[in-house]
Amino acid sequence: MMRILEKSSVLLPVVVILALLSMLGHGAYNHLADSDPLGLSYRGSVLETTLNTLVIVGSATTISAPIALLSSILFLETSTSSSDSGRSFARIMRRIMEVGASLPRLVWGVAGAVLFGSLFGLGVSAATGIAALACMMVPIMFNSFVDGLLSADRMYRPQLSALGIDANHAVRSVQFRAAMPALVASTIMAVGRGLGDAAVLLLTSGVSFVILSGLNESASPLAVQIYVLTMDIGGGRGEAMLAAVILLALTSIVQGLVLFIQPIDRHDRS
Amino acid sequence: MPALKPSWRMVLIFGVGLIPPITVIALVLLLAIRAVPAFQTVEIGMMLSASWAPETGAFGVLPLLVGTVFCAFLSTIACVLVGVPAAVSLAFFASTSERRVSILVLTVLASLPSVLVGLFCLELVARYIGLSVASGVIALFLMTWPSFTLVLYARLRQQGGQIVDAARALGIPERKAVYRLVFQKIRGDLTLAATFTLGKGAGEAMAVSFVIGNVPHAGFLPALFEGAHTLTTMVLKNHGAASGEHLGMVYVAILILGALIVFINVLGAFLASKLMKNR
Repeated sequence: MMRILEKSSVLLPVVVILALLSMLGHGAYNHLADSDPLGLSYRGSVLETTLNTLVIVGSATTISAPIALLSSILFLETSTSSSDSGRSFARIMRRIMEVGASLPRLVWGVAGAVLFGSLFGLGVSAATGIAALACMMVPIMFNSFVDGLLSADRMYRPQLSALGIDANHAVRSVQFRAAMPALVASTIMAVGRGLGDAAVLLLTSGVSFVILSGLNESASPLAVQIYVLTMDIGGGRGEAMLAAVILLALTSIVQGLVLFIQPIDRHDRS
Repeated sequence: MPALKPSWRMVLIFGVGLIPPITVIALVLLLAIRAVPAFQTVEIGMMLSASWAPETGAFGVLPLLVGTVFCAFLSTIACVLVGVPAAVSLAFFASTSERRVSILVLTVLASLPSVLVGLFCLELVARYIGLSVASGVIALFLMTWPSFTLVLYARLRQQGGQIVDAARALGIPERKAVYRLVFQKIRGDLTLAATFTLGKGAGEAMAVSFVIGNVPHAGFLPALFEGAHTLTTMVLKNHGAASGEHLGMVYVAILILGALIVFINVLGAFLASKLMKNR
C-alpha cells in the first residue's frame, strides 16, 4: 500500500508539469493560429508586456540588490562585534527581516500602494510598482545573503585568524569571494520571484498593456496581464495563454541559471 | 570587495543597511494607522459577525479569516499526505535517474508563478468541480506541495541515511525504519515544514482568486463545493474600488492576514524547537 502511494506521489509532479505544458501549448497555439497577437492593438501586445516585465523587474533588482547586500554586511558587522548591544541589534534586525520575508506579497502590494502611491504621491504608476517590488525583494535577498555570507564566514574566519590576518576587510574580502555563488543565486532567485509577481504590481503599477514610456505611467508586466485577461476581459484567455508561455519560459531560464550556479543534487553527482 | 576607508565604509553600511528594517517597520505601522479609523467606526461585534456585505455596511471579517484558515489547513493536510510518501521515496527508495527527474520537475513547479497555477486550475480543475473552495484548495496545494516535498526530502537525506543503514544491518524492514525511526527524529523539521506551508497557503492570493469564486460565503465556515472569499481574495478584489469605511476594513483585513502569518510561523518555530529538544 505504502509503495503504491510512494510511487504515485513521485509520479504526480511529472503528470502536473505535462498537463500544464500541454494546456499552455494548446491554448497559445490556438491563439497564434487565430490572430496576430504580437502585433500592436488597442490594448497593447504580449511583446510590450514582456518588455515591461523586464524593465520593472530589472529596475527593482538594481535597487534592491545593493541595499540588501549592504544590509547583510551591517548584520555581519554587528553580529560578529564584541559588544552585547551590537549582537542584540543584529538579532532584532534578523527577526524584523524574517518577518518581512514571511509577509505575503499582497501585504507588500497594499503597503507599497499606500506608501509610494498615496504618501509619496507617485499614484498608480511604474515607479510605485518598482519601489514596492524592490521593498518586497530586499528581505528575501537579505536572508539568503546572510546565510551565504555566514557559511563562508564560518569556513574561512578560523583559517585567516590562524594565519594572523585579522583585519576585518581581509576576512570580508575572502568571505565575499567564497560566498559569491550563493549571492548570485539568491539574486537570481529573487528575480524569479519578481518575474512571477502579480499581487504587488496589480495594486501598485496598475493595468496597461502598452510599453511604458515614463515611470509615472501605468505599466503591467506579464503576470498582471495574464490575471486581467483571464479574470476581467472577456475573450482574453488565448492571449493570456500566450503570455503564460512566455512567463513560464522566463521563469524556467531563471531557474535554470540558479541550478547551473547551485546544483541541487551535488551529493548524488560526487 | 575593495577595502573602503573606514569612515565612508561605516556611513555607507549604516546609512543604507538600516533602510530595509526601517522600511518593514514603517510599512506595518502605516497599515496600522490606515486601519485605525475603521476600528473607530465599525464595532467589534460587527467585525465578528458572519456577514461580509460592504454595500449594506456589514463588515464581518471573521468568516473571511475562517475561510482563509480552512483552505490553507486543507491544502496543508493534502501536502503532508502526498509530500511525505514522495519525499520518503525520493530520499531512500527511488533510483538515481528517477530522483533527478522528479527533483528537477519539483524545483520547476516550486518556482511557478501563482498566475500560472491559477490559470492551470481554472482550465483543468474548476472546469470539473466549479469555482469553489475545493478548487481553491487544489490551487493552494499546487502552490505549496513542491516546496514542502523538497524541504522534507532534504531533511530526510540529511538525517535518515545512518538510521536506515543501521536498520538494514539489524534486519529491521526499511520502510518501518523510515516511518517509525527517521520520522521520530525529524518530527520537528516536519512540523516546521507543515506550518510554513500553512502560512504560505494562508497568504496566497492570486492562484486562489482564479478559482475560488470570490463571493462572500454564508455563515462562518465555507462549503467545500461552493464559492467563497478568503482574506487575500477579498483584499485583491476590493482594494481598488473601496473607499471610506470599506477601505478601512480592507486595511484591517490585511493587518489580520499579516498577523495570522507571523503567528503561524512563530508557532511553528516554537513547536519545532520543543520537538527537537525532546528528540
